[in-house]
Amino acid sequence: MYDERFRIKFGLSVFAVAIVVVACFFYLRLDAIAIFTVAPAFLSFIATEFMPPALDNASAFLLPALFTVAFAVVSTLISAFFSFIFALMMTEAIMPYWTVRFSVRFVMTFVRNIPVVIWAVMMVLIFGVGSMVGLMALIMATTGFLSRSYAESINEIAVRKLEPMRASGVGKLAMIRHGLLPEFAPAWVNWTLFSFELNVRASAVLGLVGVGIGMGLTIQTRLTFRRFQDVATMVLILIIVVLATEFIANWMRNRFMNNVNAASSAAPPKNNVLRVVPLHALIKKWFAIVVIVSVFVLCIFYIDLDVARFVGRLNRAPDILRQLMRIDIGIITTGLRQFSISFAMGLVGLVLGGLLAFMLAFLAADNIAPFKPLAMAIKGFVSIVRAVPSLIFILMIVAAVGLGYTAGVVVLILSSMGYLTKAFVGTIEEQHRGIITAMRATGAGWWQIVLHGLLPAVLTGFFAWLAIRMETSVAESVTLGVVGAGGIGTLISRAERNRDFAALTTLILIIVICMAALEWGSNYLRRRVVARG
Amino acid sequence: MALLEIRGLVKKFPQSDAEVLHGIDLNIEAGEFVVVIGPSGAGKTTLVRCINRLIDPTAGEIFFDGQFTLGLRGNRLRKLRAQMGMIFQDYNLIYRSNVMQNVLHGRLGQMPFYRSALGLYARDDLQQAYDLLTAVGLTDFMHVKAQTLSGGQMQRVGICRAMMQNPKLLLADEPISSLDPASAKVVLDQIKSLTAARGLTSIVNLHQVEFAKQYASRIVGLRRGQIVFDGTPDALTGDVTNYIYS
Repeated sequence: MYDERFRIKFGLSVFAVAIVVVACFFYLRLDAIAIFTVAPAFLSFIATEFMPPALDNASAFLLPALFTVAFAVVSTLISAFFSFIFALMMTEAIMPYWTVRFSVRFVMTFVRNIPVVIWAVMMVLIFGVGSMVGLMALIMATTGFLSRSYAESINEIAVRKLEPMRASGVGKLAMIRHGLLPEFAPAWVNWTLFSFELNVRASAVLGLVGVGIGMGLTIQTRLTFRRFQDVATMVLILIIVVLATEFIANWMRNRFMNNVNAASSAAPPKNNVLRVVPLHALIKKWFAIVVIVSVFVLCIFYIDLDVARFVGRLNRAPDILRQLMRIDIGIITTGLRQFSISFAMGLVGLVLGGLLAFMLAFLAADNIAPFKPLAMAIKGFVSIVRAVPSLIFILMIVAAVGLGYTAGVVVLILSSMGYLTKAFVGTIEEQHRGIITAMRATGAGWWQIVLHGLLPAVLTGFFAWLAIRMETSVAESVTLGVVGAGGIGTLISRAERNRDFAALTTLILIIVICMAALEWGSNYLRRRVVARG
Repeated sequence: MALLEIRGLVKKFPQSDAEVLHGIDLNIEAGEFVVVIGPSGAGKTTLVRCINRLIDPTAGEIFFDGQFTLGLRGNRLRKLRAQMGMIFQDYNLIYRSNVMQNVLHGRLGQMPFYRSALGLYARDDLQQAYDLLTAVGLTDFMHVKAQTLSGGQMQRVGICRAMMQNPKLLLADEPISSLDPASAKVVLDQIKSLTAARGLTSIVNLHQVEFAKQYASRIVGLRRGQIVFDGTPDALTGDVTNYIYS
């Protein structure tokens, strides 16, 4: 793959990206040195103000943490249900009318491209604060994401696997039940757990943007009163909760996948009783369903949704919605300019975070790590960075060094680094050990193995991850703006405070359109990269 | 009257200019074991799929059991399809369901709405599925997930699924193309013996001429969307074969 044309193209792309990043620096008037000096300032601030965490209060913070998890469970399961139905409506083999498919797809693209925090801002504006509002915001964002992911998996299954049923005259509902559901189950488990992990972080954050619930609220109040040691405890608990949910999610994934293989030993039927499914498999299935349903019900009772208050406010919704149905032409140029700032911040975060991740990944991947303790340390550090939502990061950094684009960019670098390091390490570890062994056998050193053995093999995967992360990074940059990091998010929070509905609608439309364009661009890049690989 | 009458069948796909099927006329009598041979791209798959309307032809007429099939929609199309079993090249089993479930899927199209949705199979259906599995030697695997079977075993489950429909016509689209020679023989033997025992009419696409001569009661040679040979295996000489595959 290292032919001359590829080298030139590759070199040119890297050069172009470098130019764009430098341009972004000037555009944002970023102080390149400040970005790197923020880290020591931040760390010393953490060391003096946040340490030691106020552990004597820890028990008081456990309840909000539990609340956060329960909230994530409820929102994820409700979204999973609706997303499945929407995903079916987007699949050609299930839904024959293209008008319906197209409309659902359109609405879901719209819904998906509004970040959860913006949803929260909008919902708070319409319905006031409360847990129902937080739940709705989470469900919106999650449904947008899941319905697309589900639809991709379902489409693949429907094309390949449902043909025999179609060919033998099976009805739609039976086809879904007997053909689609069993084949879709692994993807369902995978995507749903993935969004559960995201939602734990998101529901911890919602309190920060005025929804008034969970850990975010607790952290917010403590930050306002500069009770940093309490904040440290909260963040510590949050890290533990996120890592624990990740651990449990992985355990459930593995268990679900291995289950299939374990149940597959051939044996003659017992007692000459004919059963479609053996009794033990039936019991296991129903047990799993009962567990999921009861966890869901328990969590619903635990988060104690303020349904009455929400319903009481429904009557003001039409009025506000009517006011939202307007567009402020005057703000479009400002909005676009501010989106370009959000975009520039997201891009700088992506590229610099990607560079860091690139360096860390080769030091941390099991199959190539030069020094095991260092690899462990990097992996631990990255998990912790990943566990802290960027909104909490920015509030901590703002407390340390003040507001501005620099704070935002630093947070975006950190979160892209966390995400991409994990992704890159995964890609490297997927590589066949044979490559490394073979090169080692020829006496190649670490550098040579990385440069000539691994790099050509993983580059495509890395670029695909970068393309995926580009969307998230910009969305995160928009979100950070809501708490004051600048860009279009800051405009939105200002419009919300001034109850300037027309401006709010216009800005959200700008976000949706630009993010949809970005999504399209990211998919295009990914397809090109994968096609080449 | 023939079980299946095809007249002037033409299929053109929107993406390409060329006609995949170029005016096919074919009558198939009850009880025949017809093997359709021809190089890949000759239109074998399209022909078979036009019969059960997985593909809609561009022009022509198809009568199945005296019924004109091309206008059928909704429930009546489903009823038509329920009378035709189909075996696929890539088996297309539901991997995460067990063998018994996969065989019973063949019955779903003939069950009332609520029974099929809930998977309430009749006792007799279970017995028939078991008997079919006995015939193909897979009873020990009845509760094994389909994904753990070998290719040959999967195709034998596919045969049972098609038979489970109690069809009037069996369509098989390259049933052995993904199999090793030993499994291929087992699969063809089982298709042949199960259809013979029921007097079932079959149309099987193959591209291996030796297998075709060995199993067919009648061979149809397809070349560039046209029938260039139609006769008994004995009549299929080397010259004809060479022409079909040229």
